[in-house]
Amino acid sequence: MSPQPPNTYPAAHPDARIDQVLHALRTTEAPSGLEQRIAARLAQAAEARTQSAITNPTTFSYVTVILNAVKDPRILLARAPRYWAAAAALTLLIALTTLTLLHRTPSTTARTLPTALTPTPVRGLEGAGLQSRHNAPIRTAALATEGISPSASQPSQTATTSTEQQDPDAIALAETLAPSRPAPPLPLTAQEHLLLAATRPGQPIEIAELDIARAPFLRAAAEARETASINHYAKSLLAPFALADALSPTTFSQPQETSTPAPPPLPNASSN
Amino acid sequence: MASSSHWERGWDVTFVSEETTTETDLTALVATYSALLFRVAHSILRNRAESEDVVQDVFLRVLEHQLKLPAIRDLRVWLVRITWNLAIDRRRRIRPDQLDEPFAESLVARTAPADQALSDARQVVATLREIERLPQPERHALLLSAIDELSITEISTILHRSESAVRALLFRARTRLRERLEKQESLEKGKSA
Repeated sequence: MSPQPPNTYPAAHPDARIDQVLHALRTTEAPSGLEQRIAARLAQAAEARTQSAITNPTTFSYVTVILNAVKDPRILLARAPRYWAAAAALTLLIALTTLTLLHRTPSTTARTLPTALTPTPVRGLEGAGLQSRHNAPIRTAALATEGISPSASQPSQTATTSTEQQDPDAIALAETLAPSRPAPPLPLTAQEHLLLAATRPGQPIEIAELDIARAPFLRAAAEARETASINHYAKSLLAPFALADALSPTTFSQPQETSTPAPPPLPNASSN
Repeated sequence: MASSSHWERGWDVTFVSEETTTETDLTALVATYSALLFRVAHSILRNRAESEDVVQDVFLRVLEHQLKLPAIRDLRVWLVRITWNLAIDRRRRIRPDQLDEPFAESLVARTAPADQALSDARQVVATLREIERLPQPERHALLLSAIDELSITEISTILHRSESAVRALLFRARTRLRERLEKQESLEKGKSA
């Protein structure tokens, strides 16, 4: 048994058992000859790698070498004689990339300008002020990115389209800061004046009269309502007469005869 | 063989920018760290042959990534960590009983009577089994603490935890293990009575 750790527990105590196991793990000795076996295996692995690189050169990955060289150029510099093809490929790749970047022509595709860069006539002094205040710095900044003075770029706006296409942030900013356009203060037509005058008092009959063609039922309903109100008014006026007629129909129903006073009896007849 | 995730994780933690550019001698690494790495692997596997295989795998990986060695800040912790991950991966493929029983028998005194040796071996196996039943962070902290060469700082680096967390894990592991062993012992006493 391996030497026990010094402790104060009895042998059967759980802590003693834990310490016994941990101590055994702690004092484990490496097997003899471990280093030699590891060294031999490493040498074997290194030789196998060398053999595979010599006998099977087609498996050599230039891409891997190029990627490693991009991460750390010292690798390529140190192994350039060995990886001459990879070095040449990397050089070619860098040259092509540089040429592509240098000879990149700006796109001249026609494109509608964002609202902030296309000044539109705004009626009213306030709207014009807003427009000029917001458009000027954005336009200047957008043009400054491509090295064109604002005055020189006024005639042709196609030059700005390439920059806008390439810079969506500038477009978004310009559209965000674009001024809102209030409604133009046009004079009202006669119908609009009439409509305004009719809607303020809130008379539905007048509103219906404005638009008979589109709402005939409103007109009919208004007329019916008006007729009903007239009838009701007339009835209310004639109501006392109707009541009196009901109470003494003869007085009123029959035609009143001319009441000629009866002739007084003749004195002759009475005397006869 | 370890999964690539473990391997890459090992690189990610200890890989730092170019500070040292000295060429690392692989032979010197083997001579310096092979015993330590063997103990690290053995604390997980408890089998000498398997542990030696793990150590050899570690140095094979070091050979494959030899160019990155100068950029590693703490080579010792890095190697321990690779060994630890490889041993855990290997442990998943092996039944614990296959490893713990021979290890427990090796711990029992040869001069002891047969029944006493059998009882001791059984106790060691039970203790190892309870260690394996611990929650993983506690188990890893406890097993790494068994290796004298590793400080709490290094253990915290290997386990991706703070030093105070490692201390707390160690305390909880010991407490939990003690309670379970006491409970087990009382059950055995009750059965024998």
